[in-house]
Amino acid sequence: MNTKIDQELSGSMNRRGFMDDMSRGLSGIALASLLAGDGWRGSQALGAESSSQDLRETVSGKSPIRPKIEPSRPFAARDPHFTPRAKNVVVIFCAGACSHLDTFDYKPELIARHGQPMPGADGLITFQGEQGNLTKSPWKFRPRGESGKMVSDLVPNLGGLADDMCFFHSLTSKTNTHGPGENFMSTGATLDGFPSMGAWLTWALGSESEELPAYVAIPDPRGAPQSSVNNWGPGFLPAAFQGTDFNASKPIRNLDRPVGVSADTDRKTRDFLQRLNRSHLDRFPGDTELAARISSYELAARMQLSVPEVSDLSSEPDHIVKMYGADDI
Amino acid sequence: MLARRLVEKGVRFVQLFNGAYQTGGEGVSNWDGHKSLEPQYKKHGQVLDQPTAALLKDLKQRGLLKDTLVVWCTEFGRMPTFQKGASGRDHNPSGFTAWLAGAGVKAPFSYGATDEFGFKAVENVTTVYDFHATILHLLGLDHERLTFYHNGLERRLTDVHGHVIKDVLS
Repeated sequence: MNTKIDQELSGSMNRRGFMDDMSRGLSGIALASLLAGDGWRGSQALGAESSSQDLRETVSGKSPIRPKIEPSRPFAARDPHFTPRAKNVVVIFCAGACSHLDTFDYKPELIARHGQPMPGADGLITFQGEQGNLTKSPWKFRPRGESGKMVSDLVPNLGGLADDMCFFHSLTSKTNTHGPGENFMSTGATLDGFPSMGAWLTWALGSESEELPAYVAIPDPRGAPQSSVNNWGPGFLPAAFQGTDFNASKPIRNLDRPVGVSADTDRKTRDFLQRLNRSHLDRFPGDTELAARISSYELAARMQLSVPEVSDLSSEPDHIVKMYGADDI
Repeated sequence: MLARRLVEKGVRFVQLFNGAYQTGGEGVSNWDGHKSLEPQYKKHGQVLDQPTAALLKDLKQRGLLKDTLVVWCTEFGRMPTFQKGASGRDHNPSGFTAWLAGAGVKAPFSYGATDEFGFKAVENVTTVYDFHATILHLLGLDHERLTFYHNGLERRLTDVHGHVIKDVLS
């Protein structure tokens, strides 16, 4: 039989054989770079449960609880440590440092002493320099809801829902600078590159959704916050648990089929890749990296359908569109 | 609206931003009202207020607020004084407000307080670590046991700090 090895040994490789070899070699390099780019290193890298790690103790003296992550289903829903009160989280982050004094923190004394110097603040220098006098909010505060919580006229609709809110009026930050401040609120560290709260939560809990990313960041349509992707980054947690950023006007990057590739070709290519991956997995059933990678490509394929569907707001009825104020955009 | 649709489909964590820097720095496209707070906030207030209120109402009407925690936050607060020679407020990390709504939190409720002018937190002073520990607790996670071994340390969202604020739990 005239195999390629025979050809090579005999030095009789023909033009067709050469081209065949070349193309296989190139696709091998492409696949290797695609896989390497993923950074998957199996269950160990997912920080999943392993007996040796559990002997360690945290600084609190309590032993760690590792999420039980199946490499082939990294986003599957997982049990929390104890019965939760909430299953999902929606964060609304007002970037730029939204003034408590013009929204939710009512201070009658500030109104009473409007225009006077702040006692004890003589020569006080803050971020941009010297301070002028105490200044009341340009917006009037009014009692809201049954509780009578005082909220300003800057946010009257939110004020109307004050009975549903639990206010923290005594928060403090470690920094007076926007980038580090955003990092601190989103990741618990002022420096760049730490895992965001969303990454911690989805690493721990996975997601109920099989078709959409476990963690979505929706930037302001006008652009990113000052610390940008650090607000939804994975830090040292597995990259799979970073936020996927998109909004109604900006689709997910690299998700659409390239122009010139038909849906049929796209599906067939994916099927072919999956067939190769699955046959490889059959031969190496312990390869959790590959299982994880297969699942990630499968999720991306499902997202090609689910994301345009979930981002298409045209199916919302008029009264809902109106409630959000999206009717006059 | 997109956030509600995502939560409806079971997405675990949705993080919305109101404020950007690429299209205008200091206060123009964000809440950084150093020098002309009133006209800038008037614009931002409208962007924030109705849609956020609608999101809360929408989640509530659909019964999703029973399982969903809504977190409204910002990176720090602003000064009770205007900046010298300007009509806006400077940065103030010594006291600021955030709120939670929905699953597991006491409402209506106010925790902690700033001083008489709103300059510094004085009653039940809260750190961002406490805030995070409380959010993880509501999701059924012990912030001291949710750790990832990295560079020789069992890392946590709350570093070596944080206490769950029990007073705000319903």
